[in-house]
Amino acid sequence: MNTLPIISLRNVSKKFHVPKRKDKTILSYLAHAFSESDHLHAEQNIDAISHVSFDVYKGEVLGIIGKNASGKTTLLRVIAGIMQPDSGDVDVRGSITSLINLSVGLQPRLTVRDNIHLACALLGMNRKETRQNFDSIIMFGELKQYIHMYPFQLSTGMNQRLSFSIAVHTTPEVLLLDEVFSAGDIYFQQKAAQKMKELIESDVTVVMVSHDLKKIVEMCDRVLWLESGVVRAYGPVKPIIQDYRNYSKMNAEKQKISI
Amino acid sequence: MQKFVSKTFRRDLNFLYETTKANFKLQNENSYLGVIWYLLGPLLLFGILLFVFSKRLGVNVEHYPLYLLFGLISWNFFATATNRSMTVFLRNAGLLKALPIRLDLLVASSVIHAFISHVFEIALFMGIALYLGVVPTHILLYIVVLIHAVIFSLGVSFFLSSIYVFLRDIEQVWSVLTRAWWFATPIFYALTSNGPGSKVSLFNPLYYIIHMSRELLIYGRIPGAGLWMGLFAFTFVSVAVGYCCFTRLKVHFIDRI
Repeated sequence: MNTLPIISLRNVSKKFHVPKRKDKTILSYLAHAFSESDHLHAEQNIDAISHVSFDVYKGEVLGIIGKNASGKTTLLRVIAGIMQPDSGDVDVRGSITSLINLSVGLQPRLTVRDNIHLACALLGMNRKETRQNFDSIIMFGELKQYIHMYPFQLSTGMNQRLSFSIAVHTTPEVLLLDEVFSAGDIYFQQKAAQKMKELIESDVTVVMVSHDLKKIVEMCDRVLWLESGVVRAYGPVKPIIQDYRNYSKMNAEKQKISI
Repeated sequence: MQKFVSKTFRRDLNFLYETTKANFKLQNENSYLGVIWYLLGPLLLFGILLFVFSKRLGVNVEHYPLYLLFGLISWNFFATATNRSMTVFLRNAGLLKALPIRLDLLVASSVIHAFISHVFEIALFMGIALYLGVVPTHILLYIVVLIHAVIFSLGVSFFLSSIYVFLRDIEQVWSVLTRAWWFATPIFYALTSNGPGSKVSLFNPLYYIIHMSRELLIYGRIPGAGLWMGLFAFTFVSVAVGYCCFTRLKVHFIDRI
């Protein structure tokens, strides 16, 4: 194993700032001056992630689990460089492809062909690479007869197949995945999982967010459990997934009692 | 290192090319006349203004139709480029949150999009000029002015698009400001040598761009050094201020869109 980590996070924190007033037009100030009810709410900062540290080495697959709003996507965005952390250091060595939202990047009013060209450019390919990969993208997505159609005419599953197919052809060194295994039908999901395995074997470093715990156990080398932006557990997959399952079950039971 | 630079360069070039192409296709989608619509707008305004002013303000202006048309298309480019760029981050919010893309290239792409329509307008202008028997000379020098016009618009676009993320009112402010600016710029009228307009125009970057282009293309005269210095200075200030503002603010964009 390479000694230098490909992704390295040290004490990374990111806050979201919620301003004092929801609406701040001059008219609303005037309206509030005459009204009894108090529309103000205190200014606050929400910790999206706080003091997260970990290393991912070359060829490793790190799974990130946690409830909704626990900071998983924010963490991916910080790694991808889309967001700057408020404090801490993020260090990534290598080219990144992020699949944070499968549907963006596709323009519903451009043909599948144009969309492939555009999405490849957005994901950082040059013209030559796009041309080389074009047929393979169509083949993998099984979209040959739809090449002149528009995404708005295709089904959701087909759109997801298209995006997934483009993304896995970018040959990144670091791949960030956010809940992408629900793309398409069971048949395509298996195909996607197979492709992912191939990529992982080819030494790509992967960070994936998923609620599919079976997939996490299957694919990941290590796992990071986020809870309200704080790392609750980080380490080998099986024991943490077991804890997470128990914790989720316990929470569900608590909810039942309170109802 | 060189290889890396050329690789990033080719990637960025492809990004610009594809995003501009996509914008262009989306604009002309399901449109039968496509590009002709870009020309009809300015042409209509041109026809009306020509009808109203050719016997009044335009009486003492040599080649008034060309004078007017050039003023209109130059202004049109500046207005289209800045207006389209202003909202570029908000329009692509979903994309910016999902992919690490170069934000400056996104602004550049919308300016280039406007520039391509401008090229059609310039071609139309050249056609009409030849038809009226005016052969545009000094084309190379004009291209220098044109490049400055593009860079100037880019600078303003950087400034506007960055501010717009935080302050939506800028859209209204800009719309009022450009209307006033339109009247303050000698587009349909000509400046008299000792009127107040000739002093005010020295502070108007659009005056430099439009006046110098007209001198070069219509009247075959090369503008003096003072005008060139003014043009360079305005372009430099626009890019410096615009890009500075953009680099300062861009880290906060993602939290606001």
